[in-house]
Amino acid sequence: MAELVLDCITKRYGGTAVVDALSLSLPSGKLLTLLGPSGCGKSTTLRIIAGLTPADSGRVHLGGRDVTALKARARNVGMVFQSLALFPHMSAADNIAFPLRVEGVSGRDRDRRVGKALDLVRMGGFARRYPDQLSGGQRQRVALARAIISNPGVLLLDEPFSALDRRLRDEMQEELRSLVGRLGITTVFVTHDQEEAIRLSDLVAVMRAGRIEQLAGPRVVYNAPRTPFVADFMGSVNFVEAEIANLAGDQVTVRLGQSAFAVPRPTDLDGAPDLGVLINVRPERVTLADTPPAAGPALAGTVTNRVFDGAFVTYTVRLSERPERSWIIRRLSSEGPATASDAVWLTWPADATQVMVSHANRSSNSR
Amino acid sequence: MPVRVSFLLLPAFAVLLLLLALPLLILLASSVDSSRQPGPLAFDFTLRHYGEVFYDSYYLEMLARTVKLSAIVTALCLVVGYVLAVALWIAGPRQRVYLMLIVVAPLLVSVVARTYGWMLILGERGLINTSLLSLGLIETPLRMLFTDGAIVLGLVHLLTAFAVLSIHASLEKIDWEIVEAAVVAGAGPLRIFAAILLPLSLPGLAVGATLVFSLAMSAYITPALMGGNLSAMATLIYQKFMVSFDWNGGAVLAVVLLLAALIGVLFIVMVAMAFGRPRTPREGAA
Amino acid sequence: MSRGLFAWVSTLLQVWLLLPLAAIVYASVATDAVPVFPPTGITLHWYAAAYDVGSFRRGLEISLIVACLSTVLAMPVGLTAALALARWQSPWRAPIETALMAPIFVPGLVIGIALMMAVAASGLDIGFGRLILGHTLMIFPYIARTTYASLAVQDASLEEAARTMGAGEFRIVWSVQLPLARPGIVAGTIFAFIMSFDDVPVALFLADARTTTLPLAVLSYLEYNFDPAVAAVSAAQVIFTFFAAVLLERLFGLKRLWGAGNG
Ligand SMILES: Nc1ncnc2c1ncn2[C@@H]1O[C@H](COP(=O)(O)OP(=O)(O)O)[C@@H](O)[C@H]1O
Ligand SMILES: [Mg+2]
Repeated sequence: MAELVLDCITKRYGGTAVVDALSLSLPSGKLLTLLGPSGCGKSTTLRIIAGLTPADSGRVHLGGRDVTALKARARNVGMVFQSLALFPHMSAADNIAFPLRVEGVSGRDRDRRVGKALDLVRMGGFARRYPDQLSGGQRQRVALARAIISNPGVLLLDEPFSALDRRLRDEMQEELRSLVGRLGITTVFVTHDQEEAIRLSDLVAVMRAGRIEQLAGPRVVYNAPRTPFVADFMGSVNFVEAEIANLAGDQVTVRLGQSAFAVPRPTDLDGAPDLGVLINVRPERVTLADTPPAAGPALAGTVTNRVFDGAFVTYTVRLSERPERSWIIRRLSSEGPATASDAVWLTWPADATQVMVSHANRSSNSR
Repeated sequence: MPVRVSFLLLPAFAVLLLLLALPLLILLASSVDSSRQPGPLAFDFTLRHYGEVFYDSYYLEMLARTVKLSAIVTALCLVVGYVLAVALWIAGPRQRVYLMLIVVAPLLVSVVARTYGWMLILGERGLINTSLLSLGLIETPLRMLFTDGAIVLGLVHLLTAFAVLSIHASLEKIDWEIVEAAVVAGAGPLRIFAAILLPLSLPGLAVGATLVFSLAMSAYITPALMGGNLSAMATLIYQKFMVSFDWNGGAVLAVVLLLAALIGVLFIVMVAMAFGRPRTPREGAA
Repeated sequence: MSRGLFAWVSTLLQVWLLLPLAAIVYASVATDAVPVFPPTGITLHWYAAAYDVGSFRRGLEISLIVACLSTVLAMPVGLTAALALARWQSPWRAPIETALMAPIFVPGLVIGIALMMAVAASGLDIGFGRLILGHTLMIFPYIARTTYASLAVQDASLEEAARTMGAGEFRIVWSVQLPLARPGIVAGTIFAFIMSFDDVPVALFLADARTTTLPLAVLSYLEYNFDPAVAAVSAAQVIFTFFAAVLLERLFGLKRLWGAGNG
């Protein structure tokens, strides 16, 4: 059952649609990440779910109920803010108890639940500390405990870990993952960090300019980005233009220069033959060779740079057909020098090819 | 470098020393010096002037009355000031400019013009009375001017700006996300005010209260014009100096008023500290 | 309290703050000698009547002279203090800043009495100078505060850049720092001028028969008269002040002038 449903939400600020006809549906107990560059409307979307910002149009459903007209205070959501927003004049325990006080949960019951929540975030010994007496990670835990204490329908987190150093961030991600999993809370997590999104999520929604560009599991988003933007955002670098030679069943034949090869058809790709597409290959899937392969995808190029960094050698190769494009290829350094000369052939398994409709052909993404 | 910097401070310190510190010292000395003022100091300590002034309980009653009025004015200024400070805090940038102009407007016109404005409204033949009379709602003019209520009204009107600005300075430091966190937790406006805003703006309230209280204690033109014969300590001080030319008595009253204001300010600070965040945190759960 | 109720209360309070000022302007243009509502007619007669009151004309002249002279005196005092504060990195800066602001928070009554007694004790007859000195003391902190605030936001590297180009101390101040601080200086000067021009509490102790400023003239006029000539004078002041306040807000921001909370 879908716990959270957004139905065609639009929000404009001064004429620009910051959230643009956005729809999504999140099953109960799942963790969804809104991933996208700064300013793409992630926070605004989250605030619309919480009821802190009214949407111009569209509906919000929580737990099967239309809450669009409901005020934020009545929506029973938990939220961790980017600044954490702990009450500086209250101890950790009082911070966590606040939602219960509001609910009118009385003394003993409240103390018991606060104690449990403190233990849950491993803060049992810090109940009486004030926020300014806690470390960054401890403050995170208190904010998290405060957000979940009243069993919210959804938990919303707005880049909560962006201010933490790397090690602490990894630790907190792990903890959030396990906590949310144990409690089975439906969660929406906002971040601009693709690595964080992939590690945490059941589902990733890659956002761009107020729209969802792709909504899928983290593996799919990483390995089969639907658009060049998503691929780019997931850290892809090796793009080249190609054409669709043939569409048949669940296979498509891609023509790239002299070579043609079949790959699995992406779910949303349809259109006429000769459609221009963009293909992408992950750096670790490409091999370098001195001679063109007998079959399969291949591109000719010139090595312009080699960087040895321990386990890997990273090559930069300028494509002969399209000198404006360079590919990055990463090989294990133990494999030895890949080529004798600077003139090389790039090859890869046909199934490593990610096929995306290029911008020029996507009506929905006309800039 | 520091030598040159202190050189730059010289004019200001000279002004502060010669025109403020030294005169204050002379005022203080005159109240305990055996000389008759105005005139050179005799440098001979005596409490005679204090005895002369407080021989009669009139001035003590007057002091008590002034403290009472100032306390009422302070309380009202804090309430009114809080509402306007919050309005200022949540206003959009454009609206904020207008609001700020309105709040400081009473401070920018002379006390004479401001009080005259109130006279036009509240006077026996003022706008309220003439309107009510012509509507037949009353038969004889209401007495609104020359009452304690008028004094309080005039002072609150003048001093509210100080409360607004102090409280607003405190509110501005509160991260708006903290308020939103309370909203998401289900808190309504009253709880947000009582549990979040009030404790966090306590420093601003305290600063505002001390400013308003000390300025109310020493206000003398507004009480004189709006209160008529009912007056306040500061008005009596003015009369001692400028009407009865009893400078020693005036100096005594001025010192007493300053002391009373100081005690009031200390009291406010202590109250604020008592309500502030406890040094030893309260017992929580766990 | 709901949002709607709050908005109503806040609006009412704003109306209340402006009420006496509005009454003044209203009385100054209503025909009636005793203002009634609605007015019998609209007239500018009272402005002419106010101009005909000799003590008002004389008071205006004196107020302008006093405000100009004390502003001119306060200017170097405030500017040097601001420059010192802006350049001094020391734990003493905060207490010194507070000390410099003392005249803003010491009540006019106390400034007036103390200065009057001090001048008397000194045995000097400085006449006109007494009031000017009082106002200089009273207003220089405003100039210091606005200038300092403008200097404090200046990029320190500018000063260093000028220094590396071989600029002397004086040249840095004169052709780099002060021009950049101009909005603050202008705002402080305007405000200082208004504070002197409007002052009654200090002037009541320090003025004499020859230095009856406009507010004092109005005050003594009010003892025996209650006609809208006073409204006209006051309205002119309200209107003038309103435009000055708008200018100040544009230049500097009104709330920084008092800066309550850190003063
Ligand atoms: N209250 C607001 N008023 C005007 N513009 C806003 C407001 N809030 C957000 N925006 C604009 O909306 C866009 C999206 O903001 P946001 O949702 O915070 O992005 P993100 O969280 O993805 O970085 C930004 O361009 C931002 O400037
Ligand atoms: Mg954001």
